[in-house]
Amino acid sequence: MKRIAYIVFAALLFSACDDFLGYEPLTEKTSDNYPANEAEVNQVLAGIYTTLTNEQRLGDQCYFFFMEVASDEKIGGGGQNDLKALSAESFMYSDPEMLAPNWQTTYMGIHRANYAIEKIPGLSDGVLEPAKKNQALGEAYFLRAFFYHRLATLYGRVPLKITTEVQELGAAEADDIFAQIASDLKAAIELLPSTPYTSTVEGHATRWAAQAMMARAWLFYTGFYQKSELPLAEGGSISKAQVITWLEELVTKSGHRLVDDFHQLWPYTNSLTINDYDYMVDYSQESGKPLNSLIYASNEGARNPETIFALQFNVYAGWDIDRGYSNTVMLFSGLRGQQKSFPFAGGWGQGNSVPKHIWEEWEADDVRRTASVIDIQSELPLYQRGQWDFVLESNYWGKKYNGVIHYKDEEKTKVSNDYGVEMYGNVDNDQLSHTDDQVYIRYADVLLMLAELAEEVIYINQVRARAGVAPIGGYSLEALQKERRFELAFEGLRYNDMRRWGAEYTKAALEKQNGSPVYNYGGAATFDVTKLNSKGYSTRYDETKGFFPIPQYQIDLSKGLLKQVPGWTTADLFKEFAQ
Amino acid sequence: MYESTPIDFNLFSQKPFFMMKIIFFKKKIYGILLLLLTVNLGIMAQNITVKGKVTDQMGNTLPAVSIIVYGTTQGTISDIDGNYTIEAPADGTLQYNFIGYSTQQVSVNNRQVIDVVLEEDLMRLDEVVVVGYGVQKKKLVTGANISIGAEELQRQSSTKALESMQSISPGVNIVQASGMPGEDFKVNIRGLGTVGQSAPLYVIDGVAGGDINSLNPSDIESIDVLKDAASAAIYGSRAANGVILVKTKGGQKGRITVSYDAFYGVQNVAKMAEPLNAKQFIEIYNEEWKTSGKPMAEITDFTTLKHWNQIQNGEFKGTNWLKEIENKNAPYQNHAINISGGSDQSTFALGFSYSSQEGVFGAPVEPHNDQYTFRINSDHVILEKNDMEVIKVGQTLNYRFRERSGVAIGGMYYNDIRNMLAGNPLVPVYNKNGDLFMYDDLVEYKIAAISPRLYNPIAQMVLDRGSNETLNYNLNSTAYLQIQPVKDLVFKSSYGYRMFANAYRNYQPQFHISNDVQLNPGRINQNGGSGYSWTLENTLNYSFDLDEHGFDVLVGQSVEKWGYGSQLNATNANPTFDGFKYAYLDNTDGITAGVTRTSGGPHDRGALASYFGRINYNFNEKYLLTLIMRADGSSNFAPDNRWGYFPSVAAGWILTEEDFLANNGVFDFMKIRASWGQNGNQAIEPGQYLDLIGFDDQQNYRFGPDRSNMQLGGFPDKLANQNVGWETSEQLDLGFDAYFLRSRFQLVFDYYVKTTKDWLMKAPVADIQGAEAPDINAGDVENKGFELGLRWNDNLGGFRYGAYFNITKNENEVTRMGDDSTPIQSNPSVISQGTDPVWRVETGYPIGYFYKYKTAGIFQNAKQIDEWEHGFLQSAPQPGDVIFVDTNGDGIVTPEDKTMIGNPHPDVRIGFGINFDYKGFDFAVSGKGAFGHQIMQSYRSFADNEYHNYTTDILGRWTGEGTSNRLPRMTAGNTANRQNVSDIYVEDGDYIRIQEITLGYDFKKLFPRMPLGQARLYVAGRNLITITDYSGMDPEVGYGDERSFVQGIDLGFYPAPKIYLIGVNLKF
Repeated sequence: MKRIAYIVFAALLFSACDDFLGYEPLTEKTSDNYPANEAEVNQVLAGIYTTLTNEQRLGDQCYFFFMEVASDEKIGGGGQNDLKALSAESFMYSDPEMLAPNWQTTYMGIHRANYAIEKIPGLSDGVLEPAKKNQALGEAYFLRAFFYHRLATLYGRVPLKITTEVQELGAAEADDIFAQIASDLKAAIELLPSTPYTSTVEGHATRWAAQAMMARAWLFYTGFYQKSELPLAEGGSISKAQVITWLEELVTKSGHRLVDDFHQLWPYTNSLTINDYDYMVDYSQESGKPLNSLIYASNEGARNPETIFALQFNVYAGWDIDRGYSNTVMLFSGLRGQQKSFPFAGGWGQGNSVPKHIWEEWEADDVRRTASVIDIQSELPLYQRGQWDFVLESNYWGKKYNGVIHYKDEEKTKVSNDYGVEMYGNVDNDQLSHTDDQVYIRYADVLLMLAELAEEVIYINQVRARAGVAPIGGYSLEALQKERRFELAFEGLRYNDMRRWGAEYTKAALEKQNGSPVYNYGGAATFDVTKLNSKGYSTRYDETKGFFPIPQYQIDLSKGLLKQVPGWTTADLFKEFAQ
Repeated sequence: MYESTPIDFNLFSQKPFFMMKIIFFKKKIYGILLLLLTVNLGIMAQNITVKGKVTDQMGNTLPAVSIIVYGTTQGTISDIDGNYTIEAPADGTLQYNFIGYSTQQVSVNNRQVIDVVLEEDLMRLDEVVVVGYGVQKKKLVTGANISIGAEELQRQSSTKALESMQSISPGVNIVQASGMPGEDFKVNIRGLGTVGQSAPLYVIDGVAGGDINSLNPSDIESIDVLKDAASAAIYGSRAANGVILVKTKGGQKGRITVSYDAFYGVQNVAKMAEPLNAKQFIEIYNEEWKTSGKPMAEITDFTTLKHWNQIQNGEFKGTNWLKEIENKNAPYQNHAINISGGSDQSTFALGFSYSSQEGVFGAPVEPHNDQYTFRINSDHVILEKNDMEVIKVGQTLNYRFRERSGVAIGGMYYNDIRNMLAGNPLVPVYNKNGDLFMYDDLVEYKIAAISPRLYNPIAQMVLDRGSNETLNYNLNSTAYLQIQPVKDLVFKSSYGYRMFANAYRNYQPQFHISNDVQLNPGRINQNGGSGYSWTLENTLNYSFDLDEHGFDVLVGQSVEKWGYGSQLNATNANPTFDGFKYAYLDNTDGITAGVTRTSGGPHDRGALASYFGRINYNFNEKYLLTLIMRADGSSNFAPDNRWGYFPSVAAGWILTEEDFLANNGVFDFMKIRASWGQNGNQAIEPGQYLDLIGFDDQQNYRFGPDRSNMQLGGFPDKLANQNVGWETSEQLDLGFDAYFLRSRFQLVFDYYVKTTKDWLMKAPVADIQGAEAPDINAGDVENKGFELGLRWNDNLGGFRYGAYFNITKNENEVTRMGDDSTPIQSNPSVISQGTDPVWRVETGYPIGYFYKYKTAGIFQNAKQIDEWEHGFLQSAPQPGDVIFVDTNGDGIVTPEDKTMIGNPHPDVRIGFGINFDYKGFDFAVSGKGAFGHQIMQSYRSFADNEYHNYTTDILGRWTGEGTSNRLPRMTAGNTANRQNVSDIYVEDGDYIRIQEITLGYDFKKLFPRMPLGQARLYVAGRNLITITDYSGMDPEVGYGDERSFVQGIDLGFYPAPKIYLIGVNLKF
């Protein structure tokens, strides 16, 4: 028996060592020592920014799309079963998880920003020089504020998580969320250098972006919640004067400026397309501006001096989360089912119907009208109405974020799926080809925010001058409101502008959409929101304050801590499109 | 005569061991010792030569019967005609041994000719069955095992062992994942215990983790399924889902035997689905639009089409896409050669096989699967003393090469069968030049003007998906050293080595099939990898008797590492040669942004260290007890949670050994069994306990102006879970084995309750945590049920016949889900674009149940709607609309009314068969069935694609009062009726299928002098008859949203074929 014991013992000795059972990741790193150097800090930052492309992976479920459709400047058409668009229009929900991609990717961004904010300060100056450390941290703070601003304007009260630790949280008060936004932006402004944008790298958040974002948050918070100042998480607050000072610094020091012609802001003036686009050819003749002076400010990857912060796309789009590498809004909102709509690409036609009254209220001599809106009947003679069970189709169509194509041949018979296929080597696929920047903050917006804060007409007139319309005499809120509406139409800003200008303003604006002429399945009809939602705009706005529902599954997962946004119940489920 | 107890070693003295040493080192003493030992055996008599013939009861000659002079190692085997010659003492005894027959001893008594008739052993209680790390007498087994021999496996004409097991393995659920050649089976034992890894552990020739599909059934000697926890417990950490032990054929002493088994068959579609033809489609399409009352601005009845007149006059009936891709009489064949033989010192077995199968759908790029296997197993006695194999070595080696190709059989966006069912009949397959109908043709025929959604799905199948090839190389090998210093004390050390390699190529030319289906530029994808794993185990086994107490004690240890090796994957654009033949990355040009992709990495690595022990005890072979303990350390868990302990206990009582039941006239044998045990599951991705920073080329960001210049992103991608540990499956099993009527009737019954505790799953984590969930130990699942197996075998004067029937009932229920009971659910858009999740995993329900709206028929008239008080899902319901049920009774129909509308897992499964055997003729039928489950079916995207075709089922839609109470009226993409998934998409999946009918004849009967031991020729039919109400092509739908634990979702399921075949079995 001794021998048996000996053999067993020998066998036991053979293994039993914990090294044998250790695991070392070979294609991942661990948080123990990451980021450890500048290159890794750059990776961490890219990891945060990329959540913005993740968020826009599906063009009908992203923040931008909802802001557009919920506002008064778009009617949420599309296919009769494109329920996201129809639901956003009518303050219903398409399904209990309607905004799940937005919620998930935004908190993913927050988590990654938290990680950066926790880890980067620990890097020694030897590893990362202080200027670079400040830059990286400043961007992380900016992004966290940017994400919370999205959540706070889309859902209202949400969990405020500012650590990477796992926490079970209910919704924070709006005051606390905005205080955190203010503190983060303040930190970003203090950390980021006061250098002209031309000496920064395109795509990275700058001090100027942080200042502009602060103004945006300040205006929304004080307007929507009827407050005079924006609180800070650490105590104290941001005064209006402080915001004005920051914006003035932006105007004088950032190097940002308005581009010369309003058309230059939009992709359809790219150099491959502009010569074949009759509208631009005509405009060139009428205005006396040579066509080559009207070319897209971002043409061939040029830096648009007006862009302060934008989402940047690339040529690597695929079918998974990397679908967000392309600008899917330009696909989802593209002209539905069109194959002969040069220079605008066919798309899915969701949430891009402009109600007629917007067109009509626009001063006819304001060049921004035709620069921003396609009057389909007059501009696109080969347009086919009623494609693919199209409902709530308008004759007026948003021009700013619709994919743009170009002719590949002299005979003008062949087009690729986007002009970027030739210009940038984009993927040549009807769904993945669009890569034009989604501009979140541009200089004209800053000027108009400054005008509004300082109540100074001069900034309004700068914007008007660029558009070629006459200056106005004095500042008034009404003039400012109108100016913002037309200068910044279809850029995802209108909805929050409406809301911060008050519930009455919002409801009146929303109700104006009723009666808009539309086409359902190609047949003429009149838009009436109560056919989508019997309660109508005003009642739903009063019930919801314009916020949208938190994905139900996330509420289920919150162990009872999270409650659905007031005004949203399962009875608000969109049923089906009825005429 | 001496008694059967051989040499009386005193087990507790050191003497034998001591003696061994002398034997080893002092050869001279060898003869003396041998002499001393043989003295015990009495004086040897004069040897004489004995000849004879061995036959069975029906007069068939039995080759390869082992004949030994009892008490010695002298022996021979019978030849192909059953003849033998042996030298034996004139007063000696001969023992005849043959598997499946009772061992017989015959005294020589000076006779020179001894013919022997061996009787079939119906009870086979002395047979040994494979248990973990050893064998055990079947009679003494206390667990619920299934033991399947080579003969039973080969009775089915299949190249897949799992398929052959289907009808004879109660409690083992084996469902085809797809009917496409080369596709796998979904296997679980006694119900699903987890949403993670739920397949059983395969142990091939003692090495865990192999692939049973890499063996040809002819390679297999036995398959033993350990169903209950106590039996499986010896495999501890990976046995939670049961264990399947596979032993490949080894050699046998005696002359070399050669066998050749082959069949050739033709396969056809068993049941065709019927899509609408062009005229029918147009009618239905128009009805959709007309009855919806919507303006039809662009919706004409296709009069602009170039071939409109041909459609109208019937010249063009429309394309039946499914028929177009049918591959009629698709060949299926199998050839296997087995050679075995050996001497007293060495035995060997060699096997070669080739099998090949084409798919019945997918022409002209029909899927195929060609497989070659090679096997060499050998055992060698290095040192033998005193009739005892003191030192023995051996090895096994199985090699498999497989070459296959396939079409798309995945979800709704990647499924060619579905595309054919939904393909629009107005589109022709070929243009006037005989080429595939492409975009330019669509333009010419004015089809493109209607919608890019009308296109040629065959072109897509051929150009986009069908040009591919997968090569797999698998090697499974073991080597062992066995030392037996003392009789029945066996030390065994074995080393297992497995390696695999695979290579995949795919070719896609540039194409423009429609504006929705185009690819530019063309591309080539190549990927491949190789890897290996090894196992080293040492066991010490001692069996001994102490008076009436029998012991069999095993202790062992093993270490194992897997995941060595790496894989590579690359895609590039612009093929420089046309055609799949040239699909190599060398034949591509440059680098194309968005297309060119490379990746490569290690496999998931892991290691396991284990200690185990087992005691089998019996008292007089009447009372049985088995105790097992295993400890496993796994690299998948944090150091503090690394070790898991898996105990089990099992007891049995052989009642028929009791005096009061001896010769009772009812039972010939009766054993009752009870067992309890715990097993583990450790199958999760490694490194879950670490805070990992991930990198992913889909999570980069572009800064600066260059759209192709990306900054690598790095991010905390997974929340760490330090506490993740074993999933434990605990099972109680009560059962009995009873043989009646001279053992002709056998009955095996088991009742079990299997509870999976702390199952490993990716529990949903609130999104606010910002990263992917780690695996956690979250919930409990209970499976309970019973298995009953009945078997009858008899021999009436040469007419041998048998029948079996088995039934399995299982109930699956999730009893706990994490802390917060939040269900897991499917992604949206499973059965049609834009639909809500269709399955869920939730407390109180079976895993993966179908979760949606219940319906109560169709509103037949306006009055019914007016009087309806339970709410609607439609905004303005009309006659012909679906009645959605307000299940919670709150007067309105909302998402809260969604409920269970189906269970994809059968409640009951059956297997059955009969066989006859008479004068060389044999006839057998086997079948299977499943009951109580549902299938969710959708062949078209009903909401967003009005050009998708229907099957003729739609002709039974509601068109007026009383016309249908299931299919609603036609409405153009009507959101409420069709988009809200409900039980109108769910059907009962009950079926009974005759799996195989075989008729054979052994020409050896007719020509007894032929130099063959067997020359059987047979014909067989497979899947000839299926009885079901299910409307799809095949009710055995293993597909389930690409998840292992869901099945029964028919999105265009590639069906199992109907096969006619002819085969031979030759033995030399």
